Amino acid sequence: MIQTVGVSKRFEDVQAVNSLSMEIHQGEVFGLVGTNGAGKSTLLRMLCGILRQDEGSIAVDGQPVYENEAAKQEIFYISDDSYYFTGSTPVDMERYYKQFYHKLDSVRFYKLLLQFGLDKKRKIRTFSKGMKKQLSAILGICANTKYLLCDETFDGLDPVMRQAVKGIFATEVMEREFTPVIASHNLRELEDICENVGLLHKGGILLSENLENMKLHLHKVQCVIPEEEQEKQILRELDVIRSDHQGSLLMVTARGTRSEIMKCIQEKNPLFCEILPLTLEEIFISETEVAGYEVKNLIF
Amino acid sequence: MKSRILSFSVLIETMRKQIWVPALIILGFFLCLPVAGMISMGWLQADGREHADMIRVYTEFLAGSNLPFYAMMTVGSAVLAGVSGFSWLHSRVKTDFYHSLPIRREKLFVSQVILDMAYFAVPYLVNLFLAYVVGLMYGVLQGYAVRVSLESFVFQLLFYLLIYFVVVLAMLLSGKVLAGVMGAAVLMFYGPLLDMVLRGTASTFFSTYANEGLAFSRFLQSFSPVVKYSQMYTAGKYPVLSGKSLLLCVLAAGALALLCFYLYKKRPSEAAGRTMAFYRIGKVTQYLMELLVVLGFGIMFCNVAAQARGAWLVFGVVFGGVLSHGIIEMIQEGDIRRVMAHKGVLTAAVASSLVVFGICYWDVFRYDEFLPKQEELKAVSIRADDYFGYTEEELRVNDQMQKAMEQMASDPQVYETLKQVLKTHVGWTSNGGGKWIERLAAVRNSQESVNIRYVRVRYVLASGRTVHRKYLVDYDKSQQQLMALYDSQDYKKTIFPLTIMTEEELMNKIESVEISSIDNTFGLPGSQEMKAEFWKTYRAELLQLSSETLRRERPVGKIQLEADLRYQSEDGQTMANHEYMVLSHQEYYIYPSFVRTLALLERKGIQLPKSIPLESVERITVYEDGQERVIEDRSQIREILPELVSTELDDGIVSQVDDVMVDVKLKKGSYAEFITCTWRGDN
Repeated sequence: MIQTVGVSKRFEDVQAVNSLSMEIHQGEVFGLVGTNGAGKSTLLRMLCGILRQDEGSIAVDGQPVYENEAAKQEIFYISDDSYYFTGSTPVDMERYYKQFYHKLDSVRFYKLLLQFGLDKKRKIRTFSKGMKKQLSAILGICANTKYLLCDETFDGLDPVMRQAVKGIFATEVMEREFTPVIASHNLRELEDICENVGLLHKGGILLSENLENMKLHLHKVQCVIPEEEQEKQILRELDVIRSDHQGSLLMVTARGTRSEIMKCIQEKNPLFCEILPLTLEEIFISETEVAGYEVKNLIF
Repeated sequence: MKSRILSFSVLIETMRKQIWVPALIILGFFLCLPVAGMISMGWLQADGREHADMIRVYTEFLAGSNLPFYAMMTVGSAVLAGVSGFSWLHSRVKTDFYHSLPIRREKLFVSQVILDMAYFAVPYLVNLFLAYVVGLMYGVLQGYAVRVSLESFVFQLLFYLLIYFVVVLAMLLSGKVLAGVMGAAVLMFYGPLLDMVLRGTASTFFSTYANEGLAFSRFLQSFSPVVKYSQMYTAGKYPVLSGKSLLLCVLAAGALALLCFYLYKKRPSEAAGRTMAFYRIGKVTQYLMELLVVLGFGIMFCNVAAQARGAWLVFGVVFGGVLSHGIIEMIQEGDIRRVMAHKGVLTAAVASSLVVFGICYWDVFRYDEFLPKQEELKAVSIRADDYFGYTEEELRVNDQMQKAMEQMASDPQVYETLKQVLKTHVGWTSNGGGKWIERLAAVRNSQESVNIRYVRVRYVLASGRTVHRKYLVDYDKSQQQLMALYDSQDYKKTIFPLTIMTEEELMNKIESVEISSIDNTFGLPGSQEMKAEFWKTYRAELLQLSSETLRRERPVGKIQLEADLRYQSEDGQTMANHEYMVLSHQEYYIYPSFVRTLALLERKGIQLPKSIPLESVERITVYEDGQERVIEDRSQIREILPELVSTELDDGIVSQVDDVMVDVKLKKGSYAEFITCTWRGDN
């Protein structure tokens, strides 16, 4: 398990991460989403021991990470901009990583290279951006670490490759102790792979929950309420995150179970009422709006 | 868990990614050692040089005696390895890569240092071995050459490490490659540059500043491994470190390595991309850099201005401060609008420089009035510029000279002379705020005939401290007392190296001798015994030279000699320490009263006439009051000739202010076409 308690990190005048506490449990696929500058990359860089937190503690399986070889043996970090030695080939990189990750599975590495259609002897500098991402992911998987920290790894992968990598992740999670932590802006990509999501905003965590639970407790309803007073009553009674009018149609995003919300609306005798499915993107926007991130203001 | 970072395979993998560094170094040493060795031996063989000569040349070649390519390889390799080995710290992507790996940072550091040492040491040793093979092929390799070449290797390796760690330190303190390279240059030369600026400040404000022998100056110089390397590399016959200097180099390299190690561990990964990796150290560094520029600009403007020098000094301080601060801030902030950010650093640098200049301007510590009490003096030496004896270089203080200096310190007459010199100096210079420069310029530009000379004094105090001072005196007023010093044999022992050279040095260390008369030049002929007799005779007569002789007589000849008097101190450090430097080029005069010397020379067929022979003179041109006067009348020429002193034979003892310049045109077939003389007669 990865556990952070009151972790803060400041870069000169910028508070990148602010008193962040969260847990990532063994065997789950954890998605890390957040606004630009929310501190996702900083958090991942602290989790893998690149950065030292200013305050708080980070523990991986109960051990601190920073400058701890044993703990870092179980963490592989895939940066959003991975580094490969000048003039190196996949073979060179595998050989280099093998010096440090003792469980690295070379046989599987070459097998996956073949599956992904990557030439093991080709210079990496001639690879496309997507091919480099594939190589990073393959190295990360074959390192056989418990934790794989991916920073925007799926960006740049074509849909087929994305599905392939996701498939491998799913298999790994089922077959061994494997916990991928995926930071991404592409919320739709996280939606179909992540079980738990941490939502970062301005260096702090807004929520860290199971995605299904999140969906069970947040709903979007569109309805037509004939009387204005009853409409106001609905908005008062529900835990409304967001509400909007499109003519006589009232759109409400509110916290609560489906039945609780429907009961409240039905009592007001709506002319029409319907629950709409919420995407992770909508959850993200709603939650960040509550936290003061005015999306509307950004839409001209 | 077993650590594998220092395993051989990891080192090999790490080396693979920077293979171009050892490749370049291997190439360099290959060309500089076996290839250059083979070519040079080929040339010597083709020239038909003697075998012994070839052995000597090849030994010096292997030991790297003053060969620039060794210095280039050592300094160049250290900079190359230091920059390439740690430049990844300046890239966020690379830093993330290395610091995400399961290795402790100290292991990363140690493995890189081991590799960088190997990049230099292995190619050096392999190519040295190849050079031995070349030596064997030509039959010029001796056991001694192997020993000195290995000692030289230790010397080069230690300085490689010193320079390398300074470069690494700069790379660790900075967050951008450019800042790192600039930082390395600053670290490498800050000490000597500050020394230069402080010397300039002292020579501007202190009229008695002697610009020599400052312990503080040597301390600052020693902060630059490159300067220290170049001093020690060129100091001796072979670059060797032993004893104290070896220990100091090892300690310095060790201390630098520990400092780098500590900073590497403390350096945050997020420092990549920032100009300075550590905020506080960055500000201190900025302050020190600005202080150097502010002091330099202040003193520069003060010295180039003819009037209102104090105001120009303040202008230089402010201008240098704003300029340096602006540039540094612009580099750090990457924004021209932020050139005046962090004004506190600028204020501190300007204020510090004004304090330094203020202390010097008002001579707070009474530097220019320094004269120890006689009982505080352990030893003393005095020399006046334009006198004969040595002039520029430091004299080696051997036992004899030390004893002579101690005798002088206890001589009341010498102390009275010193008091008189200081009194005359103060009278002339109007001390304080560098006004002496203006006063001196005014005197030199005036029409009055004033003969100003420097008198340099070295005081050795009972505490062991050595103090150097230089006094400007009106020579006409001090001449009597200064000339009286020549009556003391101790004084002569402090200014004539020949008088304190040992018998062995006299016989073995003098490499060439040239004796000049007014109209000719000779070598010193004869057997070793004859030469030994000559030197002993001359030395005895020189020690008997009195002030009366100097007043009465003018030299009839001059001895110029070259002596290899480089001394190896106990710790093997040669000439690196000022106290052990000795003049190699020396000049001595022969006076008519040196009858035994003259007789010896005559026995060898060397005549030293008192004046230019009339029969060889065609005409005389006198330059007086801006006009030329040509004298061709033989009787007039006969009268003038005995009063002429060749400038070549002028001992500078007697004041020259009223002398008239004269050109003597010689007849064809003579020793020279012209002889330039001074005319001291009643003209």
